[in-house]
Amino acid sequence: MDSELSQWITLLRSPLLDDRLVAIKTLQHLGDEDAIAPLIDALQDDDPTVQTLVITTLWEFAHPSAIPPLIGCLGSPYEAVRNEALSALKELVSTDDLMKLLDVLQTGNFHAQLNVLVLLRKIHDAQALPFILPFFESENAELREAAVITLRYLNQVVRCEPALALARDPSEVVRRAAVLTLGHLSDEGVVPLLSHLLTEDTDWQVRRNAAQALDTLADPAAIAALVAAVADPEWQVRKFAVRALQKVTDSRALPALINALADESSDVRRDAATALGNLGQTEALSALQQTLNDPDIDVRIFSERAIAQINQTLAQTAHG
Amino acid sequence: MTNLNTDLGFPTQRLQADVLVVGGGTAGTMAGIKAKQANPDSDVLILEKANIRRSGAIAMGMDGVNTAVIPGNSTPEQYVREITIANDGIVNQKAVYETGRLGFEVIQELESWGVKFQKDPDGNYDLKQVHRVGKYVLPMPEGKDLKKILTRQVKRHGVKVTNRVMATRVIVQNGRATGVVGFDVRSGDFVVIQAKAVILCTGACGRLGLPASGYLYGTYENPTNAGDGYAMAYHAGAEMTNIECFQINPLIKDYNGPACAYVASPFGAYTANAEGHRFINCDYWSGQMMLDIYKELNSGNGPVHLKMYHLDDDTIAKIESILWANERPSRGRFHEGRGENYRTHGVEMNISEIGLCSGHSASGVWVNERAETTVPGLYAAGDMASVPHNYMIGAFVYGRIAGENAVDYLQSLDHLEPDPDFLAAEQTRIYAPLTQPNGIPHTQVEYKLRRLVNDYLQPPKSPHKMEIGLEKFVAYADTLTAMGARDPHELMRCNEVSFIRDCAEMAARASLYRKETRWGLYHYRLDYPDRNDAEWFCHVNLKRTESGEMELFKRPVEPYIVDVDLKREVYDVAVR
Repeated sequence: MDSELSQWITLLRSPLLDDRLVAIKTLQHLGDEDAIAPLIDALQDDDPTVQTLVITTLWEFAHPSAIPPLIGCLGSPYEAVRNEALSALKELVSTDDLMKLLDVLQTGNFHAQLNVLVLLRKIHDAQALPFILPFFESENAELREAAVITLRYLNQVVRCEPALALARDPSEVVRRAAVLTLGHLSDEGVVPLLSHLLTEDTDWQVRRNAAQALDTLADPAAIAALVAAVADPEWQVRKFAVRALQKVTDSRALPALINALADESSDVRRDAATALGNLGQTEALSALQQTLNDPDIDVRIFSERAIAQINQTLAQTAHG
Repeated sequence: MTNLNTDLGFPTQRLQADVLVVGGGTAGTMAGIKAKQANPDSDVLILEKANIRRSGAIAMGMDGVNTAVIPGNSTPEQYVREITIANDGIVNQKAVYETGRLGFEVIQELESWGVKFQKDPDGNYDLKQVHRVGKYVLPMPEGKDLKKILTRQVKRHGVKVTNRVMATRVIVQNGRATGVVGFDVRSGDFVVIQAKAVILCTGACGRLGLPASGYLYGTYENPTNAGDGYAMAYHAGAEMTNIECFQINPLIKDYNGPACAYVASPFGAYTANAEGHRFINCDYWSGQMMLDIYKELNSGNGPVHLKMYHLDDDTIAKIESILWANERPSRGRFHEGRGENYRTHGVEMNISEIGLCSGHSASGVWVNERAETTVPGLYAAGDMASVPHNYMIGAFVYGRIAGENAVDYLQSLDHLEPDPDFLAAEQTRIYAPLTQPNGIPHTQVEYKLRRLVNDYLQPPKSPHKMEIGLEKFVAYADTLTAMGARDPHELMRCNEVSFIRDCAEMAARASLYRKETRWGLYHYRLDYPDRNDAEWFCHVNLKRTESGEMELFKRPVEPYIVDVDLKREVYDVAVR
């Protein structure tokens, strides 16, 4: 090790806080990998500012040897330390670290558990499933929410009955997350449950997310609920219900979609025009014509395209 | 022979490299890495006038990729088609194709280095559609450390880096590029670097026009990018192309940053007029779209704004965290200081000052699909090399192509000893402002020059105004000799002003030469308001003749490799 480097490493152990901070910043700029081991030792420093800066520096080195000590920082009593470690690990963790992360889930540290649930989304490995499920029963709503979001990111998991219960959770934050996750599952109860929540949940964000999930699933069984949701008091619910109806085309949606062409939200008007184009029924033509002088140019453009699409469908049927 | 720098007390430093990369930003770091990967025994040096850890257009980070051609979502052929239409047909399709073909590999390689791109729950790239056609926008919600990651890779690959040295001229001997000269912006040392191949990656000419705020460095582009490479390539004798196709962008009024509609629109935000209605006809980011915005701004429906106030609090909070934490941390403070809030206020937008940048439009140093300029041994990549609409991915792709081809090219070449007369003349030119420390400060000289650019070159372009502008830019060469500098840092600024003057003259001459309107607002001529394919379906290239004159000429558009019917396929969908 050259003398320039060793002088700063010695300073890392100075009793004076300012000395230690200068030493870390200098090591960060020098970027010499011989400093990694002493920096890992400095994670044990008493001062949280020093700890945070050391984490930033180790993050820049991005050396795998720093990953286990950084995982150890996820449960730190200091918020800044935890957050910096989480940011660094989001970049650094890989499949090789899965077992180390799962071990942390078994500890009783709330912060460490929450952060690990977030990191598992970067790894996508279905092996994590049995370790995540117990958190669905957690007393803590944040852990329930984090666990059901993580479920969404696990590859090959297409059925997970316990997730359905979280869509009826007393906390709306948990329900919002659970409903989006259900959009990626194929359990029998999913579409009826989402249809129910789309029309009945008291939280509009839950209803909006249910519409988004039903858009992903594109299941014709949801048609009645989607049509009803086109009259929801919240415009974002109406917008995503109309979007789902662009994929699930059904003539039962025709009257609701024609009404939606006069919606106060331009997004709803525009997306309804596209849905009507996909539906391809002549009954929509006169309503679409009326939107050609809409003040919003997107509505005009998409109405014009819908009219062209319906006319083309007609021409094909006439010749076919 | 007297050496001006030694008279002033600055020594001369001599360096050598096989491949010399000028500029350590997006394209430059990739060029260095790829040259080293192509031949680990080669000596690769990156020259950077700032510090490579935080330099270039992505100095802080990047919140998304604009041109991601991801298999299953789009193909290189589709990409070429859309860039061709967006540029009214004036493209070298072979060069554009490379960005589409290699972009996905670049994304995968960046990912292997630790750059995180947004993925959906199924692990697929979470591409967003932000225009009515094409789906190429890939968010990078954790992209704030991109530059640090690139710097780390430069180091790990054993690429040498010299920070704080500004290049001023390329050395050309026997018809090929053999190095560069410049100076250390801290110590003032004269620096001569011999190289077998030179790759210019110095970014856009972002300090051409003066922003409406009046601040010299309050530009849309990173203000360190003064057009250094444009001027160096020109003086080396390389062809420049499409210089009249200016870069103009919609941006936040009084704040030097984009409104980031790319980031906010997937969340439901959109650009609206004062009535709150969408108004943009054009389907793709292009001069045509800027013309839509220009017209609306100057109509009774202006001003225009990015509308988010119809969204809910949680959604706005998400947008804020991406915009403020990733790309421009000052943005949150800017709005706060004005008492504005996305929940209640639209983000008022304006049209930016003009600049030259192939990343967004098409102007730059002419390069082929091998990143070669018309001077052997001189390569260019990134915002200064004309591969239209190349953005960040294009800079990475062309950095890679330049790095690999340069290594291939130099195999049988030797270093040449620079001509002492050339070095002496260059010393005199570079250091002149230090000999008159009480000369006119560079800020004043630059301010006036860029005011002239605004007054006479800003579209819509008037021929008489441009003639006046040209006359003034030519005469400004004399004004530059009155500039004074007191230290090497001010000397750097003085040399940047001379680059800006070169770019202004090129911009005026090229704009006067192309007698038609093309690329929407970018080249909107009041005296020739229509597109004229019969006479002007070509590139306008320019170069420096042996006698030092600026020569302009037409260069035909190469045969297309992807068929596009430009009469039928337009992005201006023109609905009443």
